[in-house]
Amino acid sequence: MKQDVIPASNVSDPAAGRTELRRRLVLAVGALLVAAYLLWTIETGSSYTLYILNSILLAIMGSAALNMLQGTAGLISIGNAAFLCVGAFTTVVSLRAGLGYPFDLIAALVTGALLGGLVGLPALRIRGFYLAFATLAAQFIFTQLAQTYETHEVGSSGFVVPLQFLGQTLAGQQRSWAFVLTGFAVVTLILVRLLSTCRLGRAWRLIRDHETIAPSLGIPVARYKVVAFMISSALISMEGALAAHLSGYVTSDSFTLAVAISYLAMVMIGGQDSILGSVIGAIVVIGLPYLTQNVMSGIAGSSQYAPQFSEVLYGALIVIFILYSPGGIAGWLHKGFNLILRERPGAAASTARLD
Amino acid sequence: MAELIVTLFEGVSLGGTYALIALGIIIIFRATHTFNFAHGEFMLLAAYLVAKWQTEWHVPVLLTTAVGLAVVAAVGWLLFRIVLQRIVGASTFVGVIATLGFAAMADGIMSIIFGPGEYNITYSFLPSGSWVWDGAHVSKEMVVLAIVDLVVAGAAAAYISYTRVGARVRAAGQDALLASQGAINVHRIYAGSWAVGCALAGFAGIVYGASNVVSTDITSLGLVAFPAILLGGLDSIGGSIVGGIIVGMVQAFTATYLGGQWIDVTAYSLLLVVILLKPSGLFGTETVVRV
Repeated sequence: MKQDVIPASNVSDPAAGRTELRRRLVLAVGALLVAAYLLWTIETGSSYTLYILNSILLAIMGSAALNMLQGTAGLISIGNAAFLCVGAFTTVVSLRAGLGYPFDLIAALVTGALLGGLVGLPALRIRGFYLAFATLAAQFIFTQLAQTYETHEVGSSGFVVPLQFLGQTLAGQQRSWAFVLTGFAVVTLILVRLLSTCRLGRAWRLIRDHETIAPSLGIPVARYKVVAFMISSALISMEGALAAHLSGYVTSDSFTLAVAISYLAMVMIGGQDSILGSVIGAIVVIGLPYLTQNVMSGIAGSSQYAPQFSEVLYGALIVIFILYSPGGIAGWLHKGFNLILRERPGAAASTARLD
Repeated sequence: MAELIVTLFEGVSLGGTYALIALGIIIIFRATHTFNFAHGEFMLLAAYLVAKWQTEWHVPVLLTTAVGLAVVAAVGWLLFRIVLQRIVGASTFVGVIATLGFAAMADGIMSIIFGPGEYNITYSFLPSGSWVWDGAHVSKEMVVLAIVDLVVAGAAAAYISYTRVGARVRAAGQDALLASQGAINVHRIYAGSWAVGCALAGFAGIVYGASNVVSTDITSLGLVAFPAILLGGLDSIGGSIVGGIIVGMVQAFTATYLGGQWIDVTAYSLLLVVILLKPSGLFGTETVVRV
């Protein structure tokens, strides 16, 4: 199932090596174009467009972190909303204790890692899918603790987080955030890329595919799994803290299981074990509600059930991708690249014959 | 004392619901090795159907109950035949993600069809009022429904454990190839297990809806049965009933002595403790491998 996810870069075959080189060239040009488009959107976009862009940039952090955990290390977590909650409430507590932006982000990062270790440690010592249960427990326990803290401190209305970039217009604030969040998203992507290509990442893939063989090669399986879960929890927690600053408002009600499943959808739709996949998945899943809303008000003249329809859509996409295309959209692109860019030995011969 | 008696009865009532949910999930897991994260959605679907037909169309409630259960069983059967049959033999990982995706779909569809409101299910032939015993008021309806839950769960567990059909289900789950060589139609057994498991979920949902209200909270009730499953043992038929009653008791005592908002926290803390100390549960097979 997982074989088609891993890029088959066969260096000993010069033709395949050249195909790989071309693929990277196309990717680099694509990345430049995306960067140019991003810059253009940030400079000219309305505050609404910029808000959607910022949501996507935030989601890319969580999507990349979960993709590393699920795609590279082969562990299922449904506790993403729980760790977003951890990050947001760490920010609230830090700010109330006098620890200001951006130091509260570091606090969120550390808290996320520690709580990730606490939740993950018992489940990750065992082979199998126990992490799914432990993270489900985290979802119910953390949100309930957050809700209790919230009702005790401010009532059910939620916490107000002071906004940054206050001297600017609404669009100006979103624009400044877009630059900050682009930075965070890019750093996260680079970090995940580095981690998943180094020794640690190769060990994760071995644990994912052959958990029984890994210990015989000297890989401390439990420790490596806990490290994967702590890193991904820390990154998701920091995303939660940034989201709290962006929206200026935190309430425990927003961290539902549906949010956790939407991150799962990002990984499945984009493509497991792929950096490109985490970006594509975040764009698709965050964009889907806006798209269904526009399409529905365009066709039916009303967008009454748009949120429900987008939930049905991404649920269906999760099922379709896990059954038919576990490599996700990134997997399609990779196959497409190979089809278009590979050298065809027959091509030169057939032209010669025509001449 | 009165408080204690009421709490005990509430614990058994909740425990009966969890036992039914856990049993359904375990039957499906034993047969197909797919852990159904969408079990709560099947409960809610059955409860919604019965409640809507009763309140809006005034169909006799026993008929709607039977039809509701049949519909839920058919949906489970179709889900297996169309989707999950393809992943039999794949790792558990795949089943978890596929059923979570289905849960999101089902949530969206049910929210469009049934709206955000709450419904009621009324069985008029159930006794009303309550027994007063030592100052404790125990609702007759709750006791009868709890007994019905436990009897159905016990009967289903006995059926899987002691009949030829049950033996076929267990055999097909243990070794599909050997079972099929022993003249067992493995795919029919798998699909049947899905139908039966989902019907049990639907039954739990309807009974819970009859003693409480029918709302989207029922789906999270399906998830709160997970501590009961892990406590009893992931693959233990009888363990599901014991685990269900223990978790029901823990929640009832939490609600009485700590406050209702803590019931899910204690149940899930129990789940973490089970994973930490005894991942195979009380009665599960010791297949757990530590790494």
